[in-house]
Amino acid sequence: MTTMEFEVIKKIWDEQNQQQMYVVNEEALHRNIQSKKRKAIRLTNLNDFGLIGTGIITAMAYTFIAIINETPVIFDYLIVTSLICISGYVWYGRIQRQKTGMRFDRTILGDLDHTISNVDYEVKRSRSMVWWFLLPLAILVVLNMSTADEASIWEWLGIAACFVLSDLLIRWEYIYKQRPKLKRLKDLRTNLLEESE
Amino acid sequence: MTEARQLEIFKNWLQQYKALLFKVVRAYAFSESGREDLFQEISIQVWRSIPNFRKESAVTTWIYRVALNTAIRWNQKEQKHQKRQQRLADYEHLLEKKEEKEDPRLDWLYEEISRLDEIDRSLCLLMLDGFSYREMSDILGISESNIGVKIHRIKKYLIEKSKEYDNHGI
Repeated sequence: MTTMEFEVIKKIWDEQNQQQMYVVNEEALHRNIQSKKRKAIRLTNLNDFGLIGTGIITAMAYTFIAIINETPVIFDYLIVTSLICISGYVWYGRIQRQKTGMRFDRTILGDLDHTISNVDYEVKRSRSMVWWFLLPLAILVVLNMSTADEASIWEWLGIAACFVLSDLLIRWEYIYKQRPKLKRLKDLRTNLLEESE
Repeated sequence: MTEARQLEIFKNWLQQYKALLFKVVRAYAFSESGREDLFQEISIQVWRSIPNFRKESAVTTWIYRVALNTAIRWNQKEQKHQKRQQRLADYEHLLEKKEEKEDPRLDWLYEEISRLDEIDRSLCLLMLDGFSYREMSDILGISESNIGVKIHRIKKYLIEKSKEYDNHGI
């Protein structure tokens, strides 16, 4: 059994610089980049804009229905105000997160910390969403419906199903998507920083 | 920066540093389709990084950082590999393999590199490409002493593994 000296290994490595393994189809590559770029713009911050859009559209729909019915009660105003506040809160969080993003180093560790910070933000938001999004709205909607005389059992069931489903979806996203992703990133960070032999 | 300028820089970088990208791709992806996918992913990230390049570091250091970062993340998503492969059926082929005879020891070397974890793999590529501890530290964001410990371990590993390779002479 003989061993290779490191210099020999380095020489083997350097030889590949003389002959390159692949030819790049530059035209196809450029087309793919353009298409990915367009897709990325569409998908960027889908979560933020989804929440903000849902809040604003629901607030507008609620206002419209209250005007049409000509019988707005205090809970209608409260629901609309809550929805606008929730959208504002999500927007504020987004701006804060973007500001934080500037602080990370331009290294692999810095990029990793930036990603961890973003995922961590999403995780915390998912975990607390029940308290600042679902619960206040559920309470207001229930109070509003209890003041209305004509709410049928089906309307109650429908509203309850909507909130339960939303809660399940939020939990599902947290348990199966965000939490494992955060764990993988943190493990990678530990691996990057560990010094033991 | 205009898109035309960005494209010009990208084409120039691709021309000059494609060997570097091939090395990263080969060290992190082990099937032809995986290599195509990773090469595309790295190219996209390099393209996106162009407006952020402030010439504070050498272009090679910058491209290596982007490429390794992308490769490490890509590797993390390997569980979704099947899904990726299905999508690849829609792709145009980006890489055409050259029919050139290659030193079999290079294949062995890549195989041993692939057995390292993703962080050590990136350090191994940087080490073999002759980057200094300082440059490696700038790319990875960890201390030079930490780099030293890891590099020592990787060198020892490669030399040790070379004992098992019985085709040294070419």
